[in-house]
Parts: sequence; C-alpha cells; structure tokens
Amino acid sequence: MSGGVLNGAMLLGLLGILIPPIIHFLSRRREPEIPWGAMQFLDLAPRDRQSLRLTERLLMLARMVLLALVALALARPFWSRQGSAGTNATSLVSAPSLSPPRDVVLILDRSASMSRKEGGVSPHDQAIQWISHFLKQLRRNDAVALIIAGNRVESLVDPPSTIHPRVEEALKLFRPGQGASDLPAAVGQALQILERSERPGRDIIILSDGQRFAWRTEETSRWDLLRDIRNRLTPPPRIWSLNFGDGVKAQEESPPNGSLGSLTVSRPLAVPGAPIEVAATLRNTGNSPLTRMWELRIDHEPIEGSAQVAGPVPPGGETRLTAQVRFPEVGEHLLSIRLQGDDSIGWDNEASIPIEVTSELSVLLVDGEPSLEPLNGETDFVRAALAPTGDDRPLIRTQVIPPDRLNLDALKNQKVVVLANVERLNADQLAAINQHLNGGGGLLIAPGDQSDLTFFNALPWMPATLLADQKEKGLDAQGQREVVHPDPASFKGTMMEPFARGERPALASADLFGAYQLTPASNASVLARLNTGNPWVVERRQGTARVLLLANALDAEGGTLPVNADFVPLLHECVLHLAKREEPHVLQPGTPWELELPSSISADPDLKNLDLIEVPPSSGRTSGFVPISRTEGVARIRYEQTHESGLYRLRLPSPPGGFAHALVEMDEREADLASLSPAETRTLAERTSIQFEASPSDLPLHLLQAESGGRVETWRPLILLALANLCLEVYLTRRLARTQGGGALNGT
Amino acid sequence: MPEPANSPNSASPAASSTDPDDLERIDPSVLARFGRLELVARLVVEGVISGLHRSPFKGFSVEFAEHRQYGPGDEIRHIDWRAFGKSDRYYVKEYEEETNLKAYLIIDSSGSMAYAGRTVSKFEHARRLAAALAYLMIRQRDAVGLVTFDRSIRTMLPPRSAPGHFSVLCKALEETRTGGEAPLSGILNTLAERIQRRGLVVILSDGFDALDPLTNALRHLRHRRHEVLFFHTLAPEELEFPFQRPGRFRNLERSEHQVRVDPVSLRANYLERFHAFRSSLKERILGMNADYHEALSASSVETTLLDYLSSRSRRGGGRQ
Repeated sequence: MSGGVLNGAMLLGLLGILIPPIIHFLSRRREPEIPWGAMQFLDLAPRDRQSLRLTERLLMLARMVLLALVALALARPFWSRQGSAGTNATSLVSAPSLSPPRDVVLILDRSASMSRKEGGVSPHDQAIQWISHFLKQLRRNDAVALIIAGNRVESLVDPPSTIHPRVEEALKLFRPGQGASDLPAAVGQALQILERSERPGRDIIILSDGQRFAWRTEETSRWDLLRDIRNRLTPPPRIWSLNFGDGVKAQEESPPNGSLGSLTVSRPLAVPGAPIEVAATLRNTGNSPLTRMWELRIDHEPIEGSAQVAGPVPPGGETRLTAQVRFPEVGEHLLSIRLQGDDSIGWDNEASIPIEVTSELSVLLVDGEPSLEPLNGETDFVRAALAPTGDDRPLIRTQVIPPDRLNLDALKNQKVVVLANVERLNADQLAAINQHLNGGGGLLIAPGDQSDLTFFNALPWMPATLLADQKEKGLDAQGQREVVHPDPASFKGTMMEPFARGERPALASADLFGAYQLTPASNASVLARLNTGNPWVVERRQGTARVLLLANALDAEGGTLPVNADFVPLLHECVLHLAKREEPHVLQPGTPWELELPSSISADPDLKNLDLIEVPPSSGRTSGFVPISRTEGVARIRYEQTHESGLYRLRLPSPPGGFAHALVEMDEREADLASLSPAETRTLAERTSIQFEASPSDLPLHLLQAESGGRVETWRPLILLALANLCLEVYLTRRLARTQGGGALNGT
Repeated sequence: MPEPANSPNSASPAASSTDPDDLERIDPSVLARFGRLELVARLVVEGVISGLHRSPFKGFSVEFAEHRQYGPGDEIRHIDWRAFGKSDRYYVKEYEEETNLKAYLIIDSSGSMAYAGRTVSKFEHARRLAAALAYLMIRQRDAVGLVTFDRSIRTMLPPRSAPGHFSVLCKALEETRTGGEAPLSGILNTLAERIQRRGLVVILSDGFDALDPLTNALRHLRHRRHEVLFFHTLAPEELEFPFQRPGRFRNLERSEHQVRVDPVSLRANYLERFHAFRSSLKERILGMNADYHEALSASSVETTLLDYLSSRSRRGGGRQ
C-alpha cells in the first residue's frame, strides 16, 4: 500500500494547528487581573473545575483537529492499493467497483491502412467492435472521450462523457479516411483533454494497426514533449496502445499492393466523340510481382470493354497505364481508372479526374488578311481544320470575321478567339478582347506579316514579345526565308506531349517560314520549341485568361504546317486547351486550396459565397459554402479543409458558370504498410511510458486490474470528519458555558 | 457650609432630601483628601443632624417623660424628634435613668475589605462610617472604644466619652491597614470574653468570612448580653457582578490564589450564591436579635447613617 498527497503545498496548512493554542495563550495574557474579595462565590467545586478544564482542553483539541483535517483535506491525500499479483478473475469482479471514477480517452487511427481488409474484416471494424465491448465493461461513472487521428486530429466526443451511447453514436457517423494519421498529435490532444479532468484515474487508449508511419518514430522531439506534458499531470495518465488487424506484417512479408497515382488527361475539356488520352502510374508497393486487371470508369460506371491487364510489375516498380476515352455526353464527368479485384489496401486502387464535356465550342477566327481566293486567307486552313465540312455533328463551330468587324457582340459566347495575322486592334476592340479574356475566354495569336509588333508587344497579356528585326533576319544569305521546324523533343504539357510520341512525330517535318523570335514573358510557359531552340508555342495564363502565341502564321505563307498530318489535331488541342477554363488544382492533403476568381465574380459585390458541391465522402462532411474574400478588387477563395484526398468541387455562378475543382492527392506515405518494429516499439514505450498491449482483448482486464489498486482520494471523508468536529466544537462551547454558569453550588 | 444648619426656620419638609444631597455634592471623599477623618465625620454628622430636623421622620416611638426645650449641652439623643417635627423647635426628652452607653467599634481589616471598584474601598467606607458613628456617640456623651486587629488584636482603645477621645479614635482608625486573612470571628470571640460590662459592639465587615464561625462569634457576644450592630459593608461590584470579559480574579487575602473566570457565564451562579449568603447572614443576625444594616460603599455615609438612625428610632431605640 502506498500513499501520498496530490497537493503537498497545502500540508503547510497543518501549521494552522498551532493557531488555537496561540490564540488561547495570547488572550490569556491580555486578560485583566482583578483583585477580588468575594472569592468564595467564584470558586467552583473541584469536580466542576476539573470538568471545566477538561472541556476547555477538549475544545482546543477539537479546534486543532478541525484545522488539521481541513489542511489535510486540501492536500488531497490518496492511497493506492496495488493489484493482486496474479490475475484472478474472481477478484476482478469486485475490484473495479472499488476504484475511483475514471476518464478514458480513445484515440482511433483513421489512416487509410485501417480500412484494408484481411479476410473480410478490417482493423477499423475490429477496433469499433473492441470499443463497443470496452464500453460495456466500464462502470457508470467512467467517462469516455473519443479522438479521431487522421492527418488532422478531430475530437468526436469531448469532454469525456459518462453517457456511453454517445460514443457509439459518434462512431456510427465516422468513416475511415484515405489519408495518413498523426498519432503524436492525437496523443497531445488527449493529454489536453485529460489535463482538464479532475479524476485520479486517467487513461489514453490508442487503437491503431501498428503501421509505422502513423507513429512518426523519427520525430523524437515531439514524443519528448508529450512525455513532459504527461509527466506534468498528477497522477500521470496511463497510455495504452492496441494493434488491430493481425495482417500487418513486417516489410519482408507485405503482399503485392497496387497503388495508383493520380490521373492525367491529354486535355481536360472534351467534346462528345472526341477522344482524350488518360494516363496513370501504377506502383507496386508490395513485395511480390503484381499483375492486375484494370478498367476505365465514367462517373463510377465501368466502360465496357475497357478492361486491360497491367503488369507484371516488379516489387517497388511501376508501370504506366494509358487509354483513350471518348465521352458520349455533354456535361461534367468524372473519369476514373480502377484496379479490379481486391488487394489489401483498397483506397489506392482508384484514381479520378473531372472532365468537362462540352457540346460545341464556338471559335471566332479573326482573319487579318482575308482573301476571296480559297485557302488564301489567313484562317482558311484553320477553319477547315477545326470544322471540316461533311461532319454532321460539328464539335467546333467556327466563325470568320475580318478585323473591322471585331467587337463585343462578335465576341459574345465565343470560347476561343484566333487572331490570325491581325494587324492591330483599336481601343474598343482591345477592351472587348480584354473582357473576353477576363470572362475566361481563350486567345490564340498567330502573327503574320501584317502584325503590328509594337502594338502586340505592348499588350499586358502577351505571352512573349515578338522581335521585329528577326523577321527580316529570317532571310538567309540568299535572301531566302529561313526555314525552321518544330522540335518534338521540346514539347511539354498535356497539350503538346501527345504530339511528341512515336518514332517520327509528324510535326517535326513541318516547315515554318519566317518564324518570329519570341522572348517569353516571366510567367509564360514555353510549350514547344523550334529546332533552333527558339520558342514556338508559348502560353500565358493570367487569372482566368489564357493566351497562346505561335511564332508563325497559320496560313500557307507561314509554312507547311497547315498540310502537316498533325495540323488538325494540333489545332483541336489548342482550341480545346484554350477553351477549358482551368485545370483542377492538385493539392497535397492539408494544403489550402487557393483560387483566384474570374473578374466577373470579383465585380459582383453581392456574391459572398461559393457553393462547395462536392467533397470526398471520406471527409464525413457534406457540401457547404466557401466565403469569397476580396482584396484590391480581386476575388479569391481559400479553402483549408483539404485533409481528405479526393475531389473537391465548387460551382461558379454564371457568368462565367461552370465549376472549379481541386484534386487532393493521397498521402503516399500511407501506402507504406510497414509496421513498428519491436525495437521501435521498445523505444517508444521507454520514451513515453506507452504500454503496448499484445492482445487487445486483454486490455480491459489490465486496465481495470491496475486500477483496482487505484488511487483513492480521501479528502471527502476528511471534510466529513471536519464537519463532525465542528459540531463537536459547538457542543463543547455550549457545555463550557453551562459548566461555568451552572456549576453546582458548593457549600459556603 | 450647608445653610440649613443655620436657618432653623425653613420649614419645607420636602427639601429634606436636598440636604444630604448638598453634602454629597461636597463629597466627603474629596474632603478626605484634604481633611482628616475627624473633619469628615463631623461634617457628615452635622449634615445628618441638620438634615434630620428637616425631614418628617414619622413613626418614632420614642418614649419620654415630658418635653423641654432643647438647649445646648443637652444630649441629642434625647431630642424628641416627633415633637420637633411638629413645632420646629428642639425639645428634649427627660429620661429617668442614666444612660451609660459603652460602644466598641470593630472594623474588619481583612484583605477583602480593601476591594475598591468604582467607589472607595469598603474599608475606607467602613472607616468613615465608624468615625461618623464615633462622633455622633461622643457628642451624645456616650463612650466609644475601638478594636483594631490583623492576625490578632493589635490595639484596643477602651471606651471613653471625652470629646478629645474622638481624635484618638480617628487617628487609630487612620493607622489601620488591611491585609491578610484577618480572623474576625476569632477577634469577636476574644472580645466577648474581655469586655466586662455590657456594651454595644459595632461591627463593620463584609462578612466574607466563614459564615458559621462568624455567626457563632456574634452569638457569643449576644450571649454575653452585648448589643450587636452589624454593618454589612459591600461594594456595588460584589452585589452586581458586572464584569464582562474573562479575567483572573486574584484573592485579596491570599494573593497566590486566583481563579480564572468567565464572568458572563458565571454571573447567574455567583449572584445566586452571593445573595443567598447575604440573606442568610442577615437572617442569622436578625435571628439573634442583633442589628443588621447594609453599609454599601456605593451609598453615602450620610444615607447609611440616616437609615440606621431612622430604623433605630422606629424600633424604639433611644435605649440601648
């Protein structure tokens, strides 16, 4: 049996015992001395005097004891009984009822590995079952708090509640996530909860699958801090750790696991019937070669006939899965690749990307040098490429206008504008173009011999500056124009890369005459270069505006590009690329999603929120609102709840309409199924006094058994004793008065 | 000097109460600081007497033969007060027999008599009263003696009626000191044996001796045919016990004896016992046909004297 006091400083209060005698002594000193003659009437019988003295002494004693009891109670003494050495089932039946009420904080690991199924049951299911069982074994006064440990720690039940069904209710709503978990943070929050608890019995139980990553074993300073916080609490709470899912094997034994990386598409905007390419990386994080079937899905429905086999992929290796997809219908679709079959981790078997399929694109071609002769105008080849006659379902609707007919009206509803060899624009036209760009429209500029370079170079959104004298220098020594070719090796980005494939990409053989020399702007990206190394295709995105600049004209005077095999697809890709409002942001979990909104939204001060219409289901949340913040006339949103991986979608009011997406990637570290090694377990246990229980079913016994020696605080009975003492003191005081006043008459 | 002594014509009986008051205003205790016991006694007595002739002391049952007008030299005790009250002149009774009163004054000088609360000490009060009595009696040509003692009899002045004897008595009185547990009952017993002829024994004491020996000694005196006059001298605090705060009451007679008392809780008990003692003493004294009067130190000597004189007259005093 051992004991102690929780609040040792209060023991100084025991010095208060000295107060009654001191008062007594002092007051005696101050008593007056009265010379008196009629002494015989003051005398009390010896019996009375003795009884008086006794009463006085008892009274002082009672007061001292009262003060001592109060001081002792304030010091919160306790004594703890050690549990019996051997586990004795019968003794446990009675023992728990003797221990004081307890606060228990349950930490449930919600990392994705908890939901992998081994033999039909996932660690998550096992943990939930264990919790139910555990709650039944608790007593009525025991309080339970529940913390979910994901990338971010969330309290489902806080403060600890003695209403145990509440915990079960919270668990019903809880779904395991797809991210990783941060157990040190969860332990920290659990300690915070327990700090506010008054009870002497405090426990933290960690329910996990033993995955090493969750424990952050390399972050020793964090664990040291937790240890210090824990030791500061008196008494320190006990921390237990349970592992569920005995399928967590050491790395040497992990099964093959296919893990899909994120999807990429050749273009995020599609037209019905037009194919797009989709690709993803399949990684084998297991230890044996992986062969798996995979399929394409649109809006979670498998595409028939799309199933293919992938692999065999060596352990730790990867392979690329590609496919072509055609979308039959207009609208927003979710395109996914899915691995068929089950492997141990389910959440990385699918990757998705949103695709916008639009009915038709309106493209405005501004012909800077129109001609009545066929194929002599600047845009004739472009028009032919984009909207070939004979196609009864045109995907792209083109309209050709001369520059003087370019105005706001003409730009209405056009998704892409092509300025082909346009000399310049007047102020109104420029304003109209600016408005078009601000509304999210795209612009393709193909400079020709008419182009006024000074004008174009002054435009703020030009992807590159055009160098004039180079044009002249395009003449070689013979006065012939210099001929350059695109260099497929330099093609970058989802738009251009498909054209670089194959042994001999078609575009490499296109002759370009008199290409301008482009100097890209600082935030422009060069998507393709010429064989001279100079930029060929430069893109600049500013806000929602997208501008593509070619180094050459798109007519026959510009070269043989219009007759190149890849000319038509190239133009399609350009237009589609320009028409897509924006690409989904790809984020890491927890990174805030920041988006600059189109100026049409900024201009409307009444718009305060945007609809968040889709969040990953594992986040446990449904849709909501994201507030718009406006600074310096630019509207932005910042969404921070991106802890769960998956697709987040905002609806944009029209104009310009449509959606904004963010794809939060999964934390790949979570795919590492390695579990804590015994050495690491030992280190953790030593460092932080965490008790790792081998078998979860034994924990309640150990918990309660260790508690049956628990601490018993004794301040309550002490206060009761003090109150009884107070009554005694009052009684004695009255008795004292009575004795003096009513002593027996002695015979005088 | 109080003017009524010189103006016998003032006839309003109701003003009698003012005369003792006037005297009280000129506090004899104040005078005692400057004058001697003699002076005080004289003042007291003169004041009493002059006050007496103002007051309608009815109910005197003094027997006399006939009246004759008072003249100087006549003994005051023969004055027919009742007749005087009617006619405002001094009339003297004629007595047949000779009176030869021998009075012995005994003042208890035990330590308890030294108690002084808000008034003068009981002892001082007793001294003044004794001196006044002595003066009164000597003026009447009675013989007065004095016995002083501490552990035993120290001085015994035989009774003399010479006017000069009064100074002697006063001097002896002034020299007496209190202290110790002076055994009053023992002294009284001794005195009972030593006094030959019948006399008047005047005892001024607080009676805080053991009750039985004291009353036995008094009985002894009575048995020897002496008249006993007991002035019970008490302080107001002893009567009321007004103390509030706890204190240590130290025995005046035995200084090492002290009792710690909480007066508030003790008071009821004290009063009960004290008054029981007082009434018991009075009963016993009256029962043995002795005279009992209270001489409270809170009252003035004049009042005590008046009370005594009036009660004496009522009882058919005049004779011893």
